[in-house]
Amino acid sequence: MDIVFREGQRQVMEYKGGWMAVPSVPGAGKTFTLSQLAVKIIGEGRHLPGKILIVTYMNSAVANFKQRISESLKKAGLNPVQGYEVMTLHSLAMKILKEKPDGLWIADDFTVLDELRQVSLVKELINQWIDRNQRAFESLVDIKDGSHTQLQKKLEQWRRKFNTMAADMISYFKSLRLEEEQLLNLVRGLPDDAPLKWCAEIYARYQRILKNRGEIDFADILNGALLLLKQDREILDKYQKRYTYIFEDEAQDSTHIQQEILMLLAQRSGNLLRVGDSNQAIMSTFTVSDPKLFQSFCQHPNTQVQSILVASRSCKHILNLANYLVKWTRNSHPIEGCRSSLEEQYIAPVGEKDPHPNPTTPRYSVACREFDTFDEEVSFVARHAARFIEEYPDKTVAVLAPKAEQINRIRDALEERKVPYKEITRYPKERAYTSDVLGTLLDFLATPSDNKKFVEAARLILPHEEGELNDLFHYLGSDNLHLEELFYPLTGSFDERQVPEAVLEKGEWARFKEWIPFFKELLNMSWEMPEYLILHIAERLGFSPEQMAIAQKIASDVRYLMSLNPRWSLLDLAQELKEIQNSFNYFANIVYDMQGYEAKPGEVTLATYHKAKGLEWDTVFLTSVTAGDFPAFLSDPYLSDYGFLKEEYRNPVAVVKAQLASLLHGVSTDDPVKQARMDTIGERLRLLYVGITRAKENLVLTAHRSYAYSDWTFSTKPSHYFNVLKKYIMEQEAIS
Amino acid sequence: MISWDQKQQEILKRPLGSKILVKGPVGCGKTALLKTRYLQYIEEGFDSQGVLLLVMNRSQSLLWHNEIDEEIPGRVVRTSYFGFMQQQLQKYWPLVLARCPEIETKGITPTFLTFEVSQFLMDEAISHYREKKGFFSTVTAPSDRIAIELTGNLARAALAGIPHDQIGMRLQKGSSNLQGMDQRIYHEMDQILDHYRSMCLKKGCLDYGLTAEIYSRILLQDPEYQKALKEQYRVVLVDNLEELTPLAAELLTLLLPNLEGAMLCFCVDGGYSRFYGADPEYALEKVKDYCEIVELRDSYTCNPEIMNFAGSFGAEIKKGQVKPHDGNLQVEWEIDEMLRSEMLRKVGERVCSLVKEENVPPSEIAIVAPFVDPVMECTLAEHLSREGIPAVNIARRRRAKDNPFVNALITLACLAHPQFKILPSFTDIANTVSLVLGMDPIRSSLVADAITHERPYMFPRIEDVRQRERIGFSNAERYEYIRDWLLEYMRGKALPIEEFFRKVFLEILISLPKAQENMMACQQVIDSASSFLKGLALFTEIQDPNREFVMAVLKGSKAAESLVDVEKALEIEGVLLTTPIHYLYTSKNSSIQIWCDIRSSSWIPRDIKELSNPYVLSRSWSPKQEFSPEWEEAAMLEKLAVLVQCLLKRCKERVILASSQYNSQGYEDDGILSAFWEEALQKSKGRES
Repeated sequence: MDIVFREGQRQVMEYKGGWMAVPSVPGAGKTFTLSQLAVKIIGEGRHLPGKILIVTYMNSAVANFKQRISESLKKAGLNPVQGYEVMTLHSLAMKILKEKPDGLWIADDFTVLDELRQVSLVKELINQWIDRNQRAFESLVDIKDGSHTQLQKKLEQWRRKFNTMAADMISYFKSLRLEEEQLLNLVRGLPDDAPLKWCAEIYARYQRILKNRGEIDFADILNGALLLLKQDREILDKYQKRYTYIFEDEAQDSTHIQQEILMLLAQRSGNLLRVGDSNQAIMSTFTVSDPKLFQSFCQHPNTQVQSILVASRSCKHILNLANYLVKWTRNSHPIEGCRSSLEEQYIAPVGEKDPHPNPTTPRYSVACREFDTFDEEVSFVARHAARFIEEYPDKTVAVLAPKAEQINRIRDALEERKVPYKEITRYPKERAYTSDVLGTLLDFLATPSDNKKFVEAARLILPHEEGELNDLFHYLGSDNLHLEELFYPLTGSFDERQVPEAVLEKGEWARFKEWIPFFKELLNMSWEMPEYLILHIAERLGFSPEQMAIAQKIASDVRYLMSLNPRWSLLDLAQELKEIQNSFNYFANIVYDMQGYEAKPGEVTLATYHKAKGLEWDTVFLTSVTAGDFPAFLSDPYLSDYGFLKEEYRNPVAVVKAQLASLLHGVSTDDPVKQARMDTIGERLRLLYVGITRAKENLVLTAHRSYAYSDWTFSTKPSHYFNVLKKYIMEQEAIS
Repeated sequence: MISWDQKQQEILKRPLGSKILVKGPVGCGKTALLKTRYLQYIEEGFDSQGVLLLVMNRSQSLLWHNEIDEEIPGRVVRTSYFGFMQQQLQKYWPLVLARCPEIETKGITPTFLTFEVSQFLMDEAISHYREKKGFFSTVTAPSDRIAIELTGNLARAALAGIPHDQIGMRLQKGSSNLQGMDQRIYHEMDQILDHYRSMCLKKGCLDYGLTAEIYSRILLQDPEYQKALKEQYRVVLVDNLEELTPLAAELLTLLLPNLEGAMLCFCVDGGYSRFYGADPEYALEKVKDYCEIVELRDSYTCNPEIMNFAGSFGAEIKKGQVKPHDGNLQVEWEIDEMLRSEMLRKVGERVCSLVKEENVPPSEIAIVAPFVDPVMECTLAEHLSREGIPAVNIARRRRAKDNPFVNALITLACLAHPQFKILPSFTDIANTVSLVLGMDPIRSSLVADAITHERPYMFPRIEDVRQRERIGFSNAERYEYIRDWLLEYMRGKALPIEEFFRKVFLEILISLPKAQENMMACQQVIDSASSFLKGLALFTEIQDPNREFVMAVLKGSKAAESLVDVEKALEIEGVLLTTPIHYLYTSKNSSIQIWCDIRSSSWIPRDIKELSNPYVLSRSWSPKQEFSPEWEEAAMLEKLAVLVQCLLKRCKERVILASSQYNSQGYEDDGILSAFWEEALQKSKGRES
């Protein structure tokens, strides 16, 4: 069958060269269009002698593009792997940097400090800094009314928040390409209680350590690549010749550095095509991405703009809801300065003649529900999602939540109901399995006389159903069992008479006994180099290819980690592996994302709103549409606000950024905290828009009025948007 | 009995008085000729002391050892050029002292610093200047790595006869795009080099670079010495002339006119030691006027098709333009996976099928990869051993401490010397207990728990050990013995660390079941400690060299491998796991070569590093010239061409290529070698996609 292009797509397919911007609505088929365009150019040989470069955001998107292009090329009888490269900006920058690290005085065997190790390094530096500057640090905390313990609690909170903040500020300084010396000079005149000055000092220390260790962080990769391209004619030449066309996906999330790199690379050919949707810019408040870049690219006189405004993803009810949100925002958002948060860009259905028309539903398919507690909300969502996959075995469903903590609660509810699910978050449980099982086994092997650790390992290794083998595990973990007598009896054999009868009678002991040789084999190897031990375990447990790749990465990093600290041992490694947020799970994401992601019927997808970008499901539950997660008023609660600090420092990040801006450019923001809140309002609004436009047929919005967290309960309320949309939904429901 | 071809016979029939330069490809029989020639001289009554045999390095030297040494009545003067310089300096040191005022300590002989010692001293100097004076503030590299580059710069300059005070200037001129602050770095480097150099020289301590410098600048210029040298050697035989540095070539020029006979072998496909300062063209130029040149063309290690392909592929790589190769090419890109782990699995499977289904003997298979990391070694070894296929890694890089006996030496050293203030890890202690007391890991862990209970770690009395009843009676007895031993030692005066190690080995370790097979590893650590202490003994500012040695081992800077290990490894008949260079340094060839990780850029790492640049520290470059990136690119291609050619020419039947799109760190790899292979294989049966 011939491929039919829709309005907008058709015009993009006519692209011959030059600068082009393709603003497109959700579901417009960006990946499809870009892939087809790439195939067309390759088929016509227009890319020669170079290649087409497609830069996208996530590794899963890379896999998607590669798969589509190679299949289409194959169908067209062309070599499926030639003529194009798809990669994330990080991979591209890394490739450039590797060309000539010495040009930037970087040793070529540099290692990359990932986010987690960065945070832990910053934590160390902060603790040292606070030790030296206790008073200044405490001076920001709101001390009026409150007991000593409350003050201590506030200080502890501040210490934790300051850690994240300092790590973010380091990336921010780097995005501005501020050298540490330069920054120190800049802040010299500031008073000692200026958090910008603190961050500058920590930054300088951080840089010193990285350099002495031969390490660079993610921001350095990008900065380094840009610097190399600017200072080294050879390298720039090579890459300009190599890429005759450059396509940028998700251009609304571009950063200044990303834009500069791509512009430089496209300078020679002049061919740069950027696809994006300003209404889906959801990264700018916590990364250095800037949606204005794409907007001003669209307005540039040399840019040819071709929008794709038709989309067949969602049924009309959902389209209408999304469009209503845009219209309401533009006209009636209670804060005037936030009305431009969504661009006036409406999604149009494709029309009935299209081979893939928008889905239709027998009745109005959008609903909203409000709950007293988050627990009730979770239970409602879990119940309905479960029912949905039972009733519609060929349809897909997702539950989205704003934060990882909420995801965990929903996950527990699904597990309790034995509902199959797949998690798409930063650290999905399933992906953490490899490092968890290795960590648990190594932890036991490092201190093999510890029954508790042994039980942990046994629980993971012995196949069993939830609730099964409890007597066995209880026995294995008790002081009554000396593990040396079990594995290395001095009398020749283990005396089974000491095993409790219950364990023996139920056959639990017999099941366990089969695994004794496995544990003994590992124990006998425990003196081996950790990397060998890890690989052997992986081999013995029959790891899948992805798990094996992760195990090998862990094994190959062990040596490096040991060289950083000669006293580091198996125990330390085990402890790191058992943390769900460890550096290796970061790598795990890369490995699993290589397969790309496609929603599967019969399981519930569990994702954060952020991670859901670019994906779609038949039915979507949008949870936690509360004032805290989706603020609409300046008086709503803000995540970025620290209530334990003095009023003027409530949002220290905003304060620091404003202070820096005034030092650098002499511009001062009247009220940085207010501005930061408005930025947050805009971005969370777009996040909601992203959530809504993930649904094809059914959409359910839910919210709660209170949230219980370990031993205390917060009260909250549904977001203003929830109420606005609820009203609209009820009207529409009544009409239909 | 070797059967010689006609050309080879002609060479051997030449009168012993001739001076011959034999040029030929890999596998043309040069080394075998040279060995036979050596025996000819001895049979004719030449005294072996007067025959100088120059080989490339110690591993080459070992290859000669087995075949020649036993047949010769006298001492065989078989040495690398570096070994030669050391011997000469040792012998003629008084001459040096008389002519070199910079040396203040007038000992009978010089002190040669081992790699570890010179690294340690340089690292100390760099760390000091970085910390105290803010040197190298823009450089992203650990000091121990910079130390390697800086000592390397001194050595490279010395071997090329470039004065050390030109190093910074040359590097600066060779570096483009320097911004203001960056230029400072080279001055800082010069200061550190100067500091290090004069510190060593004052005490009569010579590292690699200083050995070369003092030999050529001082000793070799001495007329008295020159006369002695000419009288000493009547014949010179050189294997691998192409791997000689300019200084070594100049020594030959000095000797050749007076010699009674000579045979110099030059491999036209060689030159892979360029990075270490070799200069094949220069060497050839220096000797050719004194010799008659004989060229060999046939190779006996490779089939003619591969030989032809290797020639043209190499020539194309040199030009940077590779054409598709048609015909019956015995190269296949069989494996190209997403993940490196998958590539390794496939390689393992492929080796199994070669052995089991195609009946290829394991020893005829070589797996060649730019780096053989523990992951690769373990994964492949585990895979192959399951199938009963032996494998041997000749590129193994381990830390000394990975050996359990060495770990015990080091851990006991820390425990017995609380003044070191090094607390060994729980795991190290448990492993030591397990080894020394012959205890299972669980009971060892109970003992380790008792030891680490208080700080500084101490061996408590067995009565005070919690859960002592779990340890067992005979274990407790042995524990008491070790405890008494340690306490007794600690009551006395601390021994130098090498003596402590020796004591532990002789009094504790030697009676253990596996002592015999681990003796060598322990001996190496003891020797290494001894030269470390000897080297540092002269530097009184180092607080406790004993502690520093233990730290060096803990940090992993002390490597475990010795040439003996490599030699032993080569005796095992199994699948060879190796890097290209390790492979080429042996005289091996194989029926099947499997090239792994061919997308990796490590196949051809850049020679220029942040603080070193071999091109500007060579004779062929003058500071008056502009150093351009083309220069580097040409050199890199040349190096890659040589490597690829040499490897191919050691392959008798077939080459299998294997790769993965993502490397072990999750980044996409696309080194230039894979691009060349893609071009070359495009039209042959190659890979489908």
